[in-house]
Amino acid sequence: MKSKGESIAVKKKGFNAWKTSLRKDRAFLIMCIPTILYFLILAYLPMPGIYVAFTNFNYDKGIFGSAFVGLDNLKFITMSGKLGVLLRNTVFYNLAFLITSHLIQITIAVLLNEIRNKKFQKLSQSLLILPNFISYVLVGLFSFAIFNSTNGILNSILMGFGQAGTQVYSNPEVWPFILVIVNLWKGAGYGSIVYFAALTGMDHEVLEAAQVDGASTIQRIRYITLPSLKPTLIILVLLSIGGILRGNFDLFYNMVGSSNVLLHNSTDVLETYVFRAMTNNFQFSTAAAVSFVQSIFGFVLVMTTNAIVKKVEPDYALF
Amino acid sequence: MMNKNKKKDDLSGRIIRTIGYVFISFLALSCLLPFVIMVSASFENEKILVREGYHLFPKEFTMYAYEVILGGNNEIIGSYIVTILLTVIGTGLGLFITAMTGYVLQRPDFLRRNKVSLFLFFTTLFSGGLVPFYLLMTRYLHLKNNYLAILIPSLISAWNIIMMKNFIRNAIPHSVSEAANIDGASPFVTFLKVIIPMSKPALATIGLFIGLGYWNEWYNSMLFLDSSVQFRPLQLLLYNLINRAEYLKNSMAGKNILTQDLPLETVKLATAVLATGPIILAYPMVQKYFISGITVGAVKG
Amino acid sequence: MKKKLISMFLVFAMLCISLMGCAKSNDSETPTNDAASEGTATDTTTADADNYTGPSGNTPVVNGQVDTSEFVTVKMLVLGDPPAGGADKRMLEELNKILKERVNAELEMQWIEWNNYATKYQMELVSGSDIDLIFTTSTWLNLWENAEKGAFMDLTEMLPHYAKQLYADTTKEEWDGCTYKGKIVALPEHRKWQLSTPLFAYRADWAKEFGIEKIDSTDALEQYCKAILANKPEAIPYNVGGSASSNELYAMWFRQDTDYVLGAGSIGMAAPVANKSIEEPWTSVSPVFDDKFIDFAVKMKEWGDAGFWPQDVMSATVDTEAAFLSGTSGIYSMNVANYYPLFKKLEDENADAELGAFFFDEKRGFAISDVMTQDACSVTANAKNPERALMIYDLFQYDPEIYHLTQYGIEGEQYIVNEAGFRERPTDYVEEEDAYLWDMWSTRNDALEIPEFNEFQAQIDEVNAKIKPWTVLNPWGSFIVDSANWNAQVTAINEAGTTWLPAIQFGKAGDPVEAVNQYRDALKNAGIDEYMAEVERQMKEYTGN
Repeated sequence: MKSKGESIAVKKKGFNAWKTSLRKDRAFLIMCIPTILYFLILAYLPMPGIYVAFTNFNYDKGIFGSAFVGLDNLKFITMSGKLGVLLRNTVFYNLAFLITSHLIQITIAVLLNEIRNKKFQKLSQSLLILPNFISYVLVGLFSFAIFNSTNGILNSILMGFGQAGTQVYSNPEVWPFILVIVNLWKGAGYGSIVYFAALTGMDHEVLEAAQVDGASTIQRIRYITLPSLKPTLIILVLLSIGGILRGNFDLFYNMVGSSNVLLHNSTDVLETYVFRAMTNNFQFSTAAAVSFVQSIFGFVLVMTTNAIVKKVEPDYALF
Repeated sequence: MMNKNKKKDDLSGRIIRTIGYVFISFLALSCLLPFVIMVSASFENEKILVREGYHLFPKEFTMYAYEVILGGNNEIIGSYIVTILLTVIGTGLGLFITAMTGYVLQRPDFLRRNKVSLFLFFTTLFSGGLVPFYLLMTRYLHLKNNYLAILIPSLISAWNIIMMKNFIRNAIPHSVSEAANIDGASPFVTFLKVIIPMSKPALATIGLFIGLGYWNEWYNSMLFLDSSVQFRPLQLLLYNLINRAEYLKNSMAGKNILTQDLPLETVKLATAVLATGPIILAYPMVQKYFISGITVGAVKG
Repeated sequence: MKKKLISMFLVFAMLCISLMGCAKSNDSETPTNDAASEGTATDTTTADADNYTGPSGNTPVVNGQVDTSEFVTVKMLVLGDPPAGGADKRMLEELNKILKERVNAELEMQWIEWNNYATKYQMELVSGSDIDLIFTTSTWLNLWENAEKGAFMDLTEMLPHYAKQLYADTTKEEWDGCTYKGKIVALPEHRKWQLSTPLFAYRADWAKEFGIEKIDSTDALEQYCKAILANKPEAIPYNVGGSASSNELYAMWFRQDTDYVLGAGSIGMAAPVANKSIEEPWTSVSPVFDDKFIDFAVKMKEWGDAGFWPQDVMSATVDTEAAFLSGTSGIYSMNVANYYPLFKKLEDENADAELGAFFFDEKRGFAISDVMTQDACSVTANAKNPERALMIYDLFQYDPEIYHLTQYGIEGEQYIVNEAGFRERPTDYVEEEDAYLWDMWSTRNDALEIPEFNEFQAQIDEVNAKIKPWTVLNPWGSFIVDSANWNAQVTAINEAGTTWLPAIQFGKAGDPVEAVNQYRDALKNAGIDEYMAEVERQMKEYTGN
């Protein structure tokens, strides 16, 4: 009798604790309702559709009635023997983009923060964001106007200096640099705004104290400004690392073209490969299968990174 | 006072500022240049453009490309209105929900914040893919040929919420919320009355991202709006114009314009100018909030 | 750790909930499908010559009479950009007056615009469309694949009851060309003569200037291009931008230098799998593994290096038609259907220019006729009014009044017939308002045509007189390779083709011999040998019975 009552009490205690915590969270949860509902309906409801990646899709039978084929939909990539090159390029470019773009975005934000000339800040920010408005189609057109060997600007300049023209579109070595630079150029303004906004939230009392203490500008940047960008950097890296196996199709397709095999060794990424395979031959299941693998890989990577961040700097972890 | 001025102008500071001016000016020019070329080439005579390539200023100024796009129909005006409405409504609504969720998720006294964060973050990695999404939108939500099909999918993104959470946490100490709490304000009231006014730079930044998303959106428009919708969002209209030379050739067929005179290249550039012009003009309005954040600090210092 | 487990569980729970949600919604779809199949099942039992119910039951045949007492709305979907002036809607108003009277129905028309049409078309089918009449084609909209996936309704039993004229006018062989696994799934385009034969249009006036009588071989073409390089500084011989689907030079090569033909088993635009010859269509071969393919690759490298096309062709974007018309390109690759209107276009641009055609098929003297399903119309599996849809379709193709209305628009607004009996545009015709299109191409019927007045009719007739004798019936008839279990190979082969062929045919793949070897390796890795063996096995099975 007594023991029974005790166990009930324990259970009740657990339940009560849960209830109290829920009561504490209630106001917050209510504020989350719009977002949670939104993602439940628009993101989670269609999510089981991922199953289509493992099927031989049939309209008549629907996604869940179609025959299960396991990983067969991915076979076409392994058959090509190019998987290694594709993975290498995709990961290489994403890492290069990740490192260079954050480096330059932080530099811009910090420098802009030091320059207290309001007009210059406004003007340069307005200009830096311009490339973000130009579509990749136009970026491709522009770069062709610069690099083509017939009447390209680059070759006109080279010849103007009495040098031989170069053939950029058949020279695979230069493409990693071109693509990294174009990517930098396109995203610098947009990304630096994020860091700039983070700097505006900096604790100004600390800054003043540092000034009074006689810290030099470089010391102030080193010990106050940069550390205050750390959480933003970590979060942005965590967010983008999930897409490490996803290539930026628009960039590669419009800059290089789809069948310039001379450049493939240094420019072919998963997305462009899948595009060629699907030309005139589109299959939902196959596209879904590739995307699924990219997701899984990204998920594992993010969870691992997040776990490490949580160990080292618990405050900065995503969850 | 003197001491302070001296500190402000220390050597490393001057060097850094000089580097800053040079470096950022260089970058800004490299960003401006293609844009200038784009605008100028859109006013260039087509034949000169094709033969001689791009120039800083048009060699033979003409508005022909714009006449071709705008001539005769007011479709593009309708498209502007639709896109502006979508952008304004979507940004307002999306920003409010994003900020509210972001604020809640950074409150350390919200016990389930990590769970909700993961719930949101998961959607950035996994999605059901095109087919289930299309089925959901058309068969279950019945949004085919409905502007809501453009408004809804871009409304909230986990990415923006996480950014917002980070901004608010960095900019507004938790003590502010606690103080409001002691005064008896509910989290929602605190959010409305205290947090929103204090996080203008963050709101401006995320608002800009959401707004740009709406302004540049064309894929959902392409998927869900067919020709029976009179005014399609701007980017879809322009995408149609750019991507199909036939569209132009056909629409020119009755105008006694020869194919060789069709400004195909300059039309591409002119559409790009038309697509980006308004938002570039609107940008300074948003921008003043980033700068104001700085000035507040500067005045204080 | 515990927290993480809980959160994982939460996510999983969400997944399950949404899965159930979807499963449920899936269930709710099935009844309609079941109803449809039950419908057909009962039909077989009740069907006799005079009495027939039909899948929907709203248009029964009673004692040989079609009962159209129930008014229905038939939905039709076509591909294309609807005319801006809305002439299609005005036509539809007129048409619906007639349809109401004749078959007690009205037509509702939907368009899928060209922009990303492939995605939108597939989405329409995937979302369980209930369109009654839907455009399809086996050449660029995957008719057979969609039929395999159950997208279209079996029309076999309905046709004799509801599309009487079409049924009577179509031979057994023609129906065979529309049949998938024993079911008629499409309505053919069989009463419009046309022959697809590829060609390079060229400037005959330039050729004469260079002392070239006519271009009828690759050698003459080479001569012509070299002369352009030497004499026409403003022009590039073939001003073009390469894409993943570039294959025109390959098409020229195998028609000029080999016996290969393209037909059953072919994959993608790069077509690395072909059939041995017109005499031996049932042998699957790959032209890529022919020694002559190396010669071709070497030749194309030579041409590319000489500057026959832009140096950076693989990354360039060029509007070749505009370039050809304005005299900055000496060649324009096309199919004969696009060649007919070119006379007028070139005349408009440049009255002194003269048009010539290098038909790749001329040397061999034959061209395989189009399949029955080059343009076709199907009824979707979920269609609500398939019977009335077929009745209307029958009128589209065989009723003169409706034929003229649908094909040309409203008389007096879109066209007039002059004294000589030719169709002309009215004098007050304004393109922006009056432009009209009928994009259900399969209903075209030469017997009901009113010829359009064309100042270049003599030239067009000359072309037709030349190519008509080349027509050879499609030797594979209704045979279709079933590649359901070969998706991986087909996709991989297609990728190898779209990667290598465009670069090789433009001589931009580095050393040509090396490139051909790499292309061959890529095809071998992709399983081309196994695939061809499978194609032959299926062919034997088909011909062996």
